[in-house]
Amino acid sequence: MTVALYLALISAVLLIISILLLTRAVGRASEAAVDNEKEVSLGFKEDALALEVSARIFNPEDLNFVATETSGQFAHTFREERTTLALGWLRHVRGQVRQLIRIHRRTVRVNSDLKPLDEFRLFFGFLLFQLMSGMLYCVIWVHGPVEAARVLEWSLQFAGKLRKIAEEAVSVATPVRAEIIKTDPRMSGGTKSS
Amino acid sequence: MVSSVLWVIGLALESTLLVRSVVGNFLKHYTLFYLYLLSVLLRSASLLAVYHWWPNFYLSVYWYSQFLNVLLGCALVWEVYKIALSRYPGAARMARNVLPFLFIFAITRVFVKAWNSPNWIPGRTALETERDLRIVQGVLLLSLVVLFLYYAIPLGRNLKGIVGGYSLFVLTSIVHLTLRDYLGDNFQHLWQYIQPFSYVSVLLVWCVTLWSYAPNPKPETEPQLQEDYQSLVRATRRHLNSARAYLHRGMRP
Repeated sequence: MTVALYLALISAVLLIISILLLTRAVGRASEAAVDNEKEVSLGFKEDALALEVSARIFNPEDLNFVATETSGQFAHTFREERTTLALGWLRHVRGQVRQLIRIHRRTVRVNSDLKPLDEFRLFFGFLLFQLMSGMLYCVIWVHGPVEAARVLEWSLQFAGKLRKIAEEAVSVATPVRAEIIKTDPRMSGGTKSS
Repeated sequence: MVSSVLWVIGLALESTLLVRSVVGNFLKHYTLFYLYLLSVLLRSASLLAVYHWWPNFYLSVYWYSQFLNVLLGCALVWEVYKIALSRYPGAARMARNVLPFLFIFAITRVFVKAWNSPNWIPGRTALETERDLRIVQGVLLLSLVVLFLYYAIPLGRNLKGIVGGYSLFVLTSIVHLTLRDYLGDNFQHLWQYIQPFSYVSVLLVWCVTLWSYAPNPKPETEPQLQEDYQSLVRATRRHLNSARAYLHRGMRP
């Protein structure tokens, strides 16, 4: 059992190193592109045209129109093409964010004022973004862009509801706590003595 | 016979590495690494003598000198950190914050385990302790490698060789010691061949990578990028948030 555990641990370690090396190798290509262009800007560029196109890709109107007006096979091909476009758009956004973080890391590695806690926060923010966009990628790949947009809409609404419930719970709990503090004799005694 | 041949080959390779560092005048750049190598060389030579003339003391001498080597191995990891991150104060600061935490966490576990062991004697329990100490080294090395990859720290051929070779050595040691602990004396026969063979492989890696001096490349970061850290973090966070918002906007028809 112990041996299996240790061997599994070693395998996991090797796997992590391989993934990191692979990521680094992939990243080098885009890093080289940045170096060539001498473009060292820290920024995520919002492309208005791409945003307009993506809104169209995720809109069900076109798909509904094609589904009602054309054959099933044509609608299927149309849906596949839209999926490819959506995946390409998402890959582009993910790539930009990866580039942003890569430039950040390259910049702060020589900065002696680096705060590890801030770096961890940023790393988890990036990880969360990658996870979320990775999940969206899977949903788009399996169900298509229209369905993915619905899932996103639903999850955002669900998150909003959860936040509302949490806020209500906090607002109910706060006066009770305030009441306890107010009626605590030790507290009132302490106030008198001071 | 085979294990003795491997033993002698190991001694020859270690001597070659030391001679090359003196001839090439780069011993001063990796002092702790060569100190470690010298201690391994002296240990191997003295163990050979003890094995032939005082076989009764062999076991004790083997395990106690092994712990000295493990400690020197930790010093080697520290040297790798010092050299690789000397030009990267930001990454070095991150390492200074993370590595001691991991080291204390791992070493405490080892000491607690040894403390709780009712009869700690060189032999079976020493083997377990060595494995635990090797795991501590492994954790430290792995953390350093992850840090190098995360911050894209370029390493020179020498340092790559030291890190790669020593990682290989630590990894094979953990596997050997675990299997020997689990399979007992049945594995001992096989171990006599596997351990020197893997060590000779490590020495070959070092011979190739440390044949001549190859310093670490200088940082590629442009001087104008040395901005205020807080404003850099704020900017990155802002851009990350805008990317998230952009993604939401793009997917909401």
